Amino acid sequence: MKTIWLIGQRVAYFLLVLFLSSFFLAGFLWVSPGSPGKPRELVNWDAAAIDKAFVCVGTTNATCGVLKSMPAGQPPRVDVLVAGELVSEETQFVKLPGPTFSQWFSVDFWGGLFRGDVGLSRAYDEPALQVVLEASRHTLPIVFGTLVVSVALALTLTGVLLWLPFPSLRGVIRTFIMVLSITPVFILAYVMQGNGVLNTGVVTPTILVACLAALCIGDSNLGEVLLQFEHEVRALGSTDYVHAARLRGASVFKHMLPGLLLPISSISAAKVAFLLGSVVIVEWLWGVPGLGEISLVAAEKGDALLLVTLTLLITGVVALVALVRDVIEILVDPRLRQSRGEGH
Amino acid sequence: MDGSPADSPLVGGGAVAAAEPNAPILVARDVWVAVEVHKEVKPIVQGGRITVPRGGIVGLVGESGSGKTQFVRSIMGLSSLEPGVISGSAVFSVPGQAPIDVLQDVDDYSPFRPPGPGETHPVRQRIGWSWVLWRRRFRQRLQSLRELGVGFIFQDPMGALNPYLCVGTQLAEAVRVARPGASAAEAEEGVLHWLEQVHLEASRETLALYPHELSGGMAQRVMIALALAGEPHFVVADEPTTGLDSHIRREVVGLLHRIMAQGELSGIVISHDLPMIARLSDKLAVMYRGRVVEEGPIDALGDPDAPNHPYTRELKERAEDLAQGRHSTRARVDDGSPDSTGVVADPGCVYRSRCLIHRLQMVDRELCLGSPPPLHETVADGPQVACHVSDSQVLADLPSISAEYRGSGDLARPSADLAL
Amino acid sequence: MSGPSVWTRVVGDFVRTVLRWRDVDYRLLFGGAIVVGLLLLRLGAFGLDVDTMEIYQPRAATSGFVKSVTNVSPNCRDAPGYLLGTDRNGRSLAKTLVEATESFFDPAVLCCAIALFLGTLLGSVAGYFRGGILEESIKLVLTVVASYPRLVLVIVAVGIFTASLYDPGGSLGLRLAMIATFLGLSYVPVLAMAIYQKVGSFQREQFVEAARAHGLSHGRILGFHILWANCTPVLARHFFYLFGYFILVETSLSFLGPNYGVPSSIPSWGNLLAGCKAGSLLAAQFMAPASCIVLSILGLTLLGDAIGDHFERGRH
Repeated sequence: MKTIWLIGQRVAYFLLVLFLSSFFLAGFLWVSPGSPGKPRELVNWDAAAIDKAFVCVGTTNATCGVLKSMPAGQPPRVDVLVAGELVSEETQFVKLPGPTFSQWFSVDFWGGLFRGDVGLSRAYDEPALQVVLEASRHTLPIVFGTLVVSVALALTLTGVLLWLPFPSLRGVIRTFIMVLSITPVFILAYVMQGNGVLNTGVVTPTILVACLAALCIGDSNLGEVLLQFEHEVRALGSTDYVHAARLRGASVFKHMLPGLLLPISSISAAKVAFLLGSVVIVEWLWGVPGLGEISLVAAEKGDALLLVTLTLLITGVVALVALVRDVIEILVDPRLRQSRGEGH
Repeated sequence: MDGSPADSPLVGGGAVAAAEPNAPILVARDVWVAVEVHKEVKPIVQGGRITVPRGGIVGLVGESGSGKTQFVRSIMGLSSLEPGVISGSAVFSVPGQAPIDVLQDVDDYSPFRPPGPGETHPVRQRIGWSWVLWRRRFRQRLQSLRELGVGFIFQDPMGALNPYLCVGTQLAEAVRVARPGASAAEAEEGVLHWLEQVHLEASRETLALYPHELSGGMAQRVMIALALAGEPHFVVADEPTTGLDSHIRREVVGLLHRIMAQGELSGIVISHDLPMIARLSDKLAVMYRGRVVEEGPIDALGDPDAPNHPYTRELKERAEDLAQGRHSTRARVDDGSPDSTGVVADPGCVYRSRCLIHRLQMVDRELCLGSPPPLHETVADGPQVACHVSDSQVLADLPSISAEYRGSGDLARPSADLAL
Repeated sequence: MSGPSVWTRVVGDFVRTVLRWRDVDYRLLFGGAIVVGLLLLRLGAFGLDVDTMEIYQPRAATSGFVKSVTNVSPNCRDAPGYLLGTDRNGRSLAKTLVEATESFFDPAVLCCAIALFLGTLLGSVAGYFRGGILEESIKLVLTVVASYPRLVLVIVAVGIFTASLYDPGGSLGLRLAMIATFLGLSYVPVLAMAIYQKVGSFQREQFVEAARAHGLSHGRILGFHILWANCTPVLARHFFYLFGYFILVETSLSFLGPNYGVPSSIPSWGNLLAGCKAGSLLAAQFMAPASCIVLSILGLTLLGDAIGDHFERGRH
């Protein structure tokens, strides 16, 4: 029962982290000066607002100024209702007062989340939740595939390094992998592509494999994972109980397995957030329509709803992997299950 | 260098004749073990040797840092090989089976060789990928050794038990090694039997405990049970009572005595606790700074007139003082050199900086400085000591000589004309 | 008193390791060389200005239809007199490389300052005043911030923050400062957790109780005895890690385009890579910026490793 209680604690923590992350993001959006407005919407302004209100328009919200009367037919322009009448005069720039905090972090939002519909994304003109889920269909397999491949590769390399009897050769291999791995992902991608244009617009399996390869190695992903694994496996192999098992003739693998599960899960949990960041670059480079592209577009266009939904998903994925790691720890390590005061 | 041909039952590899029934179960000769410290390779066991007779227990004594643990672990294959063992031979023989030289050919294939005359550190020798092949053969020989049946009782009981598995699982696994194909019920029966043997409560509750839930004494007993459940012929106990409370220590010693001394079990007990060694062993081996300085019957420990090596004498005196709870007023020889622990290949006698004989120049000083003394008997059937003194009377009279200097501080100052 | 400060020891170690070949730690040598090189380049960049650099124009202007653009020879490998050739705007590649250090050096220092300050504050407070709501809430906030990927956080936050600017590309300083601030903020959890563990382990030791009994204030114990005496190597290690990470982020963003990093008129190593249409990978147009990036990140990371390994207590 203690196990269930501990797991329940971790799940509650996970939900709390999820909630807080969208809370923080909404708060940030609220306080930042670039709070996106809603251009090209019809707005009711009374005459008193003319010459006072500061507004921004355009796809990048780049043009801003004081609301003035505007001439017809000259871009950029805003159609403004002044005292019930549509006024379009001499162009100046307009900014609407920023939406309130509760406009994208409210009961509506969370209710909509459970219903499956949080609202329309301004940047894509589609339901925001659908946009995000569709994009994650491309990104999440890349990220988790990279995780699996890097862990497998690191384990293999660790085995090779530990078996190799010559320390200098080991040092050479380690240095080579470290230097190769510290290369930023975009340089690796550039090298892989040769000198041609990277963004072909079509997602082929080759491109996905290339993304995987670049992510797996670059940005010191492989280097760090290998370093940690080698350290853990070496420490594990030199513990007395592994020696004792070997001496008894018992299965060494069975004894090392619980000890290996813990570092594997914790390294994976640490790397997921990192990979989700690097995947942005790779997707942009090769035109994969994934979470990276969504976040770039949303930031550009100031689509706050999309950003909050996106945050929820990304933080959810990271926190979920952390939760899985915690659960594995609880199940494998009996010392965590003891209540305070027991044991010697 | 100092192995007598009469001791080794097996010469070279390849001889597959079964061991003689009376051959010692373990004969180790000339074992050098090195370790790499700050890019320097230093020997920690220099010319280690030990002979364990069949059915007998050898007590290996020495202060911490003397290399005794590393010596024994290296010949059992429990330590790293880089650099690890660089020279020597360790032959295990069990009647009815071919003897196994665990360290066969290590001299030819190891990346290092022991220092020659005039050298202080092991020297790198040219090897190729043949070292990899040697390692494979070494592991195969260790596998055969395991099949002979060996057990090891580690110093730290918490470290030697897998913290992720419960006690029952680990013991059942050990029982299954001795009886492959045992059913679950038979395995559990065996486990409970061994728990009884080590005086633990033989019940399901005990089996479900995890190692972190055991007390120090209980964990030590579980480890003893683990080592014995494989039904070995040869057991090594590495400082089995260090770190335990004194009353638990007594119980564990009694347990070990019952199991090891009264059975067909041969083994080595490593400790710096002399009374325990005296109780448990038939033979004595003393190590100091990587070298074996004395080897002989256990009576040499208890007999005040035995011609012991001066270091053994020092250990005995310390143990006496400890037992009687009195502060030592005996003469302590000290030349002020740092008490480094066996990391330099000393061309002369390793003990000379603390040796009363050397200080009082009862033997030619050049001998002590020049060459390591070989192990030799000073009386028939007495202990073999590594000392240049060949007169057993001198060695036997050492306590009375040091008594003359009782309380004096003269010996504790380095003498000006001594080239140490 | 703990002895000479970290920096005295670093320089001393450096000198000793160069003079005594047997004990040399190659990471310190290499990392030290890279840091010195970066500093020199940065100082050199003070004297350069990209607008006043001459443009390589090999072809004489034809009469009639003159467009200065057609005279520019971008990515030209064989331009005479130019050490490495020209970059994508026709300027000297070598000088542009040096000038490009401006775009990451100062912001990186800002980034590290922010991360170090906030990380130390949060980590030490959480580690020192354990077992209360303060520790738990700080750890919660750190976990939340850490669960967001750093690169995405930086891009999104900078995009939102600079959206209101009149000309986001032009106010380069503000954009880089924003990148630096947000990267520093997103690195705070890493640093704070490292300090938290270190401070926590020291706080449990007896000298803290003894110091309190002697009447030292919490601030003095934490600030001087724990942090300055023991945690400085941790801070130094993370300083170099973050510096290298900032270089990585800034070059990646500049590579992605003017919307995310520096505009294309301002040189940056990432920019140079994006614009280089060199024929082969061995050309200087690719090799020079790429190797600069890789070597800087490598050197800084190695230096951080080496300093941490040599000076951290409780690791040997």
